[in-house]
Amino acid sequence: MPGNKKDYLVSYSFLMPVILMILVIIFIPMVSSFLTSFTEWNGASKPQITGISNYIDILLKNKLFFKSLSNSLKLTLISSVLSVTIGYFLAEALITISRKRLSEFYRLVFFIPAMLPLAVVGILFKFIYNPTYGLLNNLLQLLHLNGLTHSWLGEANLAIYSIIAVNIWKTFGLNMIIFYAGLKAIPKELYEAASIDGAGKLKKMFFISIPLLRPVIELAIVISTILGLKTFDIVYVMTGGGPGRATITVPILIVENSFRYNKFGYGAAIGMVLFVVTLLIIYVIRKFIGTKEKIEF
Amino acid sequence: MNFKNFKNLIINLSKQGILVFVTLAVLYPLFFVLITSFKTNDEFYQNIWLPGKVFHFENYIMAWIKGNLGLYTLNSIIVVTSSIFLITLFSIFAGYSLAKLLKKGSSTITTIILSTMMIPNEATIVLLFALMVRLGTINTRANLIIVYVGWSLALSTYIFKNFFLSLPKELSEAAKIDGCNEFQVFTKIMIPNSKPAIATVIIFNFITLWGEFLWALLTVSDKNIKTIPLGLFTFQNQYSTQWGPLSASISITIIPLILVFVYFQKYFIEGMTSGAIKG
Repeated sequence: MPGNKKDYLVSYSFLMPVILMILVIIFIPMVSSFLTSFTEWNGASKPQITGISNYIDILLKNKLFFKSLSNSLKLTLISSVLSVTIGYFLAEALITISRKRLSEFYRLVFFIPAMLPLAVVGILFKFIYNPTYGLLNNLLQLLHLNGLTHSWLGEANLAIYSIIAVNIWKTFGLNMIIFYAGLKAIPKELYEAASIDGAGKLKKMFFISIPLLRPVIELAIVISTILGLKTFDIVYVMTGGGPGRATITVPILIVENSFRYNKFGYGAAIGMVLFVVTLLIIYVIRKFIGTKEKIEF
Repeated sequence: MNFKNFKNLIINLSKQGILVFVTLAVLYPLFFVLITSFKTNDEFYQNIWLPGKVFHFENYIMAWIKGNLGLYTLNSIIVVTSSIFLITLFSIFAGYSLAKLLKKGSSTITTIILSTMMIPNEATIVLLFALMVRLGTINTRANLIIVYVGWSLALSTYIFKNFFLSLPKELSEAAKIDGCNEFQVFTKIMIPNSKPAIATVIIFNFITLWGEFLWALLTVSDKNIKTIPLGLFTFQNQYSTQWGPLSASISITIIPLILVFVYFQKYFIEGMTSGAIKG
């Protein structure tokens, strides 16, 4: 085949821009983060090699790191579980709506929060949570539930949950779309056959939808987890990590150490820990929810 | 039988109730901001619920000119459209190569490209910053564009790869018999046929990049290249908030997104439901 070599050249030249960009923007920072994490570096002078002392400090001495990690994990776990569940049930509800227009309307509306920028959502809800002029407290007062009003972002124990609620508001629509797509791909005949056998709605859900959607559920949970562990914008905008340090997350801690205190090596080391935590959690999800078998209809 | 009908009715009603409740939970906060954006501060303090007597468009003018949102919107449009152009261009070539051209190694390369998505950008952002400082691009639009393109290519390439895999072989074989070479097959047959995938990639990246906050926050201080998410803080500080202009700024940021989405939603939801997110 004389054309073979040329084909090869064409196919790699088509790929080159993507490979180069990913190399420069993702791989090089990744490798240099890894190397820098073993040094002390203020960004300007020469990095001093300090071995694993950054890691020792982070993992053994830095209480703030554990605070931020526990916040990040709490936020990731609660919002993933709730947002995936809500998304799933909404998709189930929408798929049974026979009026096409109505179903389209709901899909559009439910997806709106998912496409709003996180920073905007943060500002919007800072407004809504405002103790005096916010929508939420005023609504509670209107319903004569004055006892439930709170300074939603000002109380140290409450603030992180207020942020989690916003995060769920922001992400359930994406899960809804993912599940809607998944449910649509399941052949109707399966449900019809089950109906003939006398299966009710719940049985259909547990014996048809959920088992067949396992790869989709895995995908939704992985996406929610990755997004949850990255949480920066919303916290930065709503509380800046406060009150005190009550809502600090790992990405906030990274940015703070690197750009406020100029501890680039230390920031990079926290970044590496975040990366490892992300990988570990994805591994666990894959192990417990993921399936190796491909499901064919 | 009656009991079963009754049960079904209850289930149905609660289903409708939940759907309406979620719709309100999504739309009411946005509606509230929209109303507030037309009110003066005094009107807002008097009654936060009702719209003011007159519509005060001044808030929008103030946000647009005094708050520089006009400038920031323009900057965002420049940065986001250039990024999306490059992303689409690079990833459509790469996706095609992975789906149709490469005989060996395609799945390995795809896996490597995809696995980069598991690296949280926040984890390596410090060194990306150091790299961009060294390249001398901090505080330029090019800096934003290069990084946005780099971050978005993996997923976009994957979307295109899956799409091209779903196209039938006969399409390219027929063209080859007619004497087209690989490049012509790609430009004359494949690209015109991939509109749904292109739409998906455009919308997806538009949504992500229009609101990108962290990288812009870290690297842009020059007012003349600031993007929209950075402009939202103008009317809010620790001591006082100008609710009207703040709400107007939020509306200005959100409205283009909703319009673009409503316009493209058919493609987008089609794209999401077909192939684009098949794991």
